[in-house]
Amino acid sequence: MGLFRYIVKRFLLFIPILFGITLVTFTITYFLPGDPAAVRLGGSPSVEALEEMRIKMGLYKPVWERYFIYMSDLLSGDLGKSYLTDRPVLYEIGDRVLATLELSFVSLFIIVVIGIPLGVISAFKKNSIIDHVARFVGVSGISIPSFWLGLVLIFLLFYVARIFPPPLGRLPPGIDEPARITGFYIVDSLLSGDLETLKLSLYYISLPAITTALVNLAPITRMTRSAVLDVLEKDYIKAARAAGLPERQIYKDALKNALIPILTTIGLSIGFMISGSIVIEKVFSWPGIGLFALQSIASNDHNPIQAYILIVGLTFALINLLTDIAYGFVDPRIKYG
Amino acid sequence: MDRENKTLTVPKTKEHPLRKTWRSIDYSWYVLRKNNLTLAGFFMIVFLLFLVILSPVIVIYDPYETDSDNVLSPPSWRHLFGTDQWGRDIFSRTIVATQLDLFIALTTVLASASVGAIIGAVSGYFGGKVDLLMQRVTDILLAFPSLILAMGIMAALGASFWNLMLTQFVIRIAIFIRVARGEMISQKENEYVEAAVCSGNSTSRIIIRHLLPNCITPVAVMTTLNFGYAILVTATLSFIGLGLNPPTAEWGLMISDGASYLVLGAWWLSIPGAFIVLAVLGFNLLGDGIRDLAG
Repeated sequence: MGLFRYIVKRFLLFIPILFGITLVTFTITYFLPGDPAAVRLGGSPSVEALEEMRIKMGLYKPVWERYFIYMSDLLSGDLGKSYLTDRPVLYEIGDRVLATLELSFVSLFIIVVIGIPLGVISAFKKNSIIDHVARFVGVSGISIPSFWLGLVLIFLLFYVARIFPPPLGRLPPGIDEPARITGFYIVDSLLSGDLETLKLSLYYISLPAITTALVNLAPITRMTRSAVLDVLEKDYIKAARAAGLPERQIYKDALKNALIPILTTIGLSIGFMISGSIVIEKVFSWPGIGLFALQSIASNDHNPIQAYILIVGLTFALINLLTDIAYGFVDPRIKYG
Repeated sequence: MDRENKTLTVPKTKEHPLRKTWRSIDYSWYVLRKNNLTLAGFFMIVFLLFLVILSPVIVIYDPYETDSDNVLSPPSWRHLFGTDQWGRDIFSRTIVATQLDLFIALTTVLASASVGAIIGAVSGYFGGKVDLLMQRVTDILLAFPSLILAMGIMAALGASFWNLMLTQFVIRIAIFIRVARGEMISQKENEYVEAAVCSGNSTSRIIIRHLLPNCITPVAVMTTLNFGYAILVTATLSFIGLGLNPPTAEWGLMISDGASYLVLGAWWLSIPGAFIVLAVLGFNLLGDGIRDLAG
């Protein structure tokens, strides 16, 4: 009962946030430079044509009315059209979001596989060499700008060592993308049995994924370490030790109880990876939504920018909400305040 | 009788102000020495500040002067960090950029910390409708990843120095409001506040003289931890073309300018990035130390 009420309360608090996100997104778009009518017409249109287009696009309507139109479009799932391609923004983003997600998931996989064990070992072998190395990597990770790390890795591993491919996107030029089933190249090429493309897509995703993982590794390793250390201090672990339980069992108990903060950090990491993708995608020419947003900003294409900020804001807020709720499910001791 | 009593009271020793300063320096030094990593962070920042102070002496080339005969030359005694694709001296540009990046980070973080702390403290003290509104506003600002919020605001305002300063101020203020508000709410229940009210202090005096000094610790910790992040945001925004405009000597912008040459062999174009790491790492290590001390 308590859990149910807690979830309902979180959802109710989520509504004003949703409203606020649209308000911020609308305000930013309102102040974006460039004349939408000129971008939409392209070339050098006549003054009359421009004027006509401005009226048609409703640019002369009062602000509140434009916000109202924006909201009613949004509620019917309409994010507007790209002025440049004249295609609905929803399709343009749909084409690219899977590239961003594929990169984020592969990075997350690396983070979880390396970060959590590293954090656990650091906690159990506190002040050992592994602990110091892990902490150093952690602090460095959050202090290194991702674009710089990406460029340095490209220089060292592509230009000098020739181990990794050039930063040219998801597949080398001239290679067809696999038959579209899920939109994730790795999954698609696996499903269609195209091992050559599978190898190439894994090869091309490796360096951007490693870069993203290194930058985002720190929070999870740190959180795992401190959460496990916290639990190890607890009386029930001392009791378990005193009762002579095998060390393996203690590991399991400790990790299970340290799971909540780790889970939250993973959730937040997904949010940060999606927002950080704007930089990584530029460095590796990765054709995701971040690169698309930057291109739209450069060409004054307002609707995609608006959609990008809205989508990232919504995703981030939703992840926060879900991790909050996950807290309630994983740990029955939580007070649903 | 009276006179005897007076001679018995212990005379108040008034400490010399210099001695007091010395004592606090001595204490800070003791804290730094206790933790090697904090000390390392401290020296990184001192090193950068040292470069900034020495800049009139060590910046011998004009950071904006191009030299078409000396393009992309690797580090040498003449050009310590080499030259970029326009023949500009990278060492001079990096030092000038150090000044700029540190200035932006320090001023904007301190500004949002002080304004945010005051708003948060007042809002937390009085509560009520204004506080509720304040909470919703901070919720909305914190709903966005700060880099994306910064990107959006900069895209709307246009890349420039003052717009960057404003954006840095805005994206960070919510977190300070929240921290100060939370601390104020727990502090105002203390008995010393009641005592201050009973002895007839005005509300503004209670907030300024009694409560704010007690709320300062978490705000100060948050401030140091944000310096490094502010540097990263400046560099990242400039890298994606939404921070400062070329040809400004700024770390992120220098890397962005040289990116295509860097990945094809001109490794010295990445040196400004090492300065970013040094500055951010320095502030993070220092911030961690201060947090451990406070917590």
